[in-house]
Amino acid sequence: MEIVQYEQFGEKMYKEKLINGLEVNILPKEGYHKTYGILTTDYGSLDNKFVPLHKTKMEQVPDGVAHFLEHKLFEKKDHDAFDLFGHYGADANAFTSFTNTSYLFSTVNYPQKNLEILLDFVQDPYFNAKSVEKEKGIIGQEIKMYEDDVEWRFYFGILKNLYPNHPLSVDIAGTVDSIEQITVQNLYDCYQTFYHPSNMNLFVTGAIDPEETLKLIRANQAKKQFASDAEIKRAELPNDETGKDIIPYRMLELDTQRPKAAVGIKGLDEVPEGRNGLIYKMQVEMLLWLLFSDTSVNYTRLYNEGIIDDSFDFTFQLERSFHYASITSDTDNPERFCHDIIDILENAEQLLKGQYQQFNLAKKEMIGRQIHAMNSLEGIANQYSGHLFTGATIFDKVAIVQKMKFEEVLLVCRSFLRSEAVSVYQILPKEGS
Amino acid sequence: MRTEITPGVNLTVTPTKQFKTTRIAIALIAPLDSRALTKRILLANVLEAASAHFPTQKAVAEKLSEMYGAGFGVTVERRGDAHIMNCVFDSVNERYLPDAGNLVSAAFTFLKQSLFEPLISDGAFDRESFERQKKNLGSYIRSVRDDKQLYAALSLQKNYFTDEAQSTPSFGTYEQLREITPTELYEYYLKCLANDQIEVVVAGNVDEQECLALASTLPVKPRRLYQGPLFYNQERQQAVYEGNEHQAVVQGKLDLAYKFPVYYRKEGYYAALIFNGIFGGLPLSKLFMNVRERASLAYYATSSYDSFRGFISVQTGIQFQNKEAVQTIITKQLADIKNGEISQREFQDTKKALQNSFLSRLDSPSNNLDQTLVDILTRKHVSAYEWQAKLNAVRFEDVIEVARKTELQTIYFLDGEVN
Repeated sequence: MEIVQYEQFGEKMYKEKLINGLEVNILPKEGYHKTYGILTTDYGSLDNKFVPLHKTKMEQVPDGVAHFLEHKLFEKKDHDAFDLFGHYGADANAFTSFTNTSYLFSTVNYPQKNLEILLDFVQDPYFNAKSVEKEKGIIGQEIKMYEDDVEWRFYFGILKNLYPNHPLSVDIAGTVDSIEQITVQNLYDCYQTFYHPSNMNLFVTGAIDPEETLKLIRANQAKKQFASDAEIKRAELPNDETGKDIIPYRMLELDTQRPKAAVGIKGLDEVPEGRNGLIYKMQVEMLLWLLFSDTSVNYTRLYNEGIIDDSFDFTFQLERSFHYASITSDTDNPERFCHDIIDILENAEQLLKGQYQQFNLAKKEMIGRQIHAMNSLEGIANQYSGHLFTGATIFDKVAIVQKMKFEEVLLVCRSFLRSEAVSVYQILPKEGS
Repeated sequence: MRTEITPGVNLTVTPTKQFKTTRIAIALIAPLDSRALTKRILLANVLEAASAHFPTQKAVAEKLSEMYGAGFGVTVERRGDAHIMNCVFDSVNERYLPDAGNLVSAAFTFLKQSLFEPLISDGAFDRESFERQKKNLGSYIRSVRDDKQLYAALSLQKNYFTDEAQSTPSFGTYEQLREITPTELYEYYLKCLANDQIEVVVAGNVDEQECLALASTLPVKPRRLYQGPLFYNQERQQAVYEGNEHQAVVQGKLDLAYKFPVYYRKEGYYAALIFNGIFGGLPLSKLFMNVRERASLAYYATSSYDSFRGFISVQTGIQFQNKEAVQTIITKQLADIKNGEISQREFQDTKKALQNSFLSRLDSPSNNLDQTLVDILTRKHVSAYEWQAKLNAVRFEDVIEVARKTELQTIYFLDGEVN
């Protein structure tokens, strides 16, 4: 067991990689009533083509399998794990992203028992044809709910522009047609390939004793048999570094009230490996903050001219195998919005000059925000990076901001903001609506 | 502890080392008035955007960044018949920051400037800033139609409540908004400052005496405490009202409203929490198990209990053609509870789930602050120990009895088929 001290914040983290490969992180929080545990596998909706364990050839599975599997893993032969958590007074949930699937509980009752339930239900798959068929109805409604969700359509609209012919352009839950094709065998293939302990990590935080908790986890894992860990072979994702595959503009008419516009920037540059990837990510976030935050000249101008309103937002996503930024707003003037945002991006380097003071202000803002997030057990555990940034935690992020240099932001400005990487997406109200 | 600063203005400080931040709220409490609904929310937005010291949004944002990413927001909440405007500031405790200075004192100064020294010219709110916020609120009000789940819930309330102050959305209406002028809003604001009950609440690793000294510098005169009733009680309607609407949607929304006259921490309240949990308020509820898990008819089917307005609403997202089937299942679940068809396990697990969510809320600074305000409004604090004891004391029969108080009043269905 390794103990990492974060003296500035009065926190201590206990880490251990178990013999079966499972990474365990425990962070006790004094004064808290609740315990939060989250078990994550490095597997998401993008991983739809791979060599299944014990097989030799690449196989393609229907879109939406990772999310479907997440739903079905709760169901056991003689019980439902969700009920069992409820019986022991815990709230349970799960979510699937492009590159991860996570299972979690949160409880003030029997934290140890609930931790065992979490490990046991995720590590004991049971899928059968009848219940797989039934789930199609529920997930079908989930997909339809998102079809009526303008924000969701908008979010995927820009992604489809930046990543056509790429699994990123498909809804995480798949489509009503694709989930129709999912079989029990698909679920087992994905499970056996991606749910090996060596591809997973567990984060527990809250009202717990770290040593006792670790002992319990070790004993729980020692009881179980796992296949020896094999290298996961995922198909290479389509990746056009020239940006030629990007669809520069698309528009959709919907029965909505207000136009929405997005400018997306696909990351064509290479992301540094390991912890440096997190440093890169935070540098780009700083870059976007300097260009677009409500303390920037650009934001103020667009806001005062009525081009943007409080719905204006900018985000940067970086996960395994992809990264992109998007700048979005509800706007009465989508053409002006896109034109002005692209103009800012093209002149970014020039605009950044003389912004050294703003940079120092932004550092304060970012440090404060990280410390704010440390109040929340979910904030602490969900920000754990796993493999992606070699186990970086929320506590490491403050130090990264503190060390950041202005020149580094100028460097990512040049490597990330490229005119061939830009795309525009708009949703416009249908005539007469 | 709660201390009077001047009549009608109080300070409550809750020292705690649990969190790394300090949270300060100044709440203005007034009786709900249907004509002032939109004014109050617009006022909140105007006050949040600028002040005489920080006349632009940029200046406000820079000041907040300077205070290490402090958060500042003004929100409006309708709680039963009370209308609360809440100005909340939260910042990192300076002991986690090198050379940040005294952030509590800086926070009070900032709040004082934002709330008591607004951006004014010629007896009115600064026209430019006012018009921008007015336009933005108008855009928001219109955009609600795009969020179908919210839109359906609001349509249900519109059909259910007979009192205009309750049937109107808490963010107001476009019609009211159109009429508001900067002068009129400023006059309304002066009335609020002079008459509303004011509660200042501070939570964090702070010194009580220091907070008292800081709060005492707020420029406030004596006023009366909130006099109005807190709980809204509506006459039972003889007939069930059915509202139907068509829009270009893929999924239908079937929402139901029930009169349920059991109020916050009053008689039957703890049984009501359990009843709502079993019905549709919790993930293991009858609605979830039957509409979703057994019949596969929905992704979500939930109920929620408004203990200040005495009503329960049910929300579902379904296929259009399944409306009758879903409604039958919902009706049956309620009838089952009324007939005592609840298992011991359901009963006990629901208690545990409610206890879990109650105690979990103590781990969130914003929930703690909300609870402090509710305690002040209801003039009663219930300790965690007492709360659990009361929940555990609820008997099986109490739940059945309280369930029998529900009466279906309104059905709302949003579908996509144009007839």
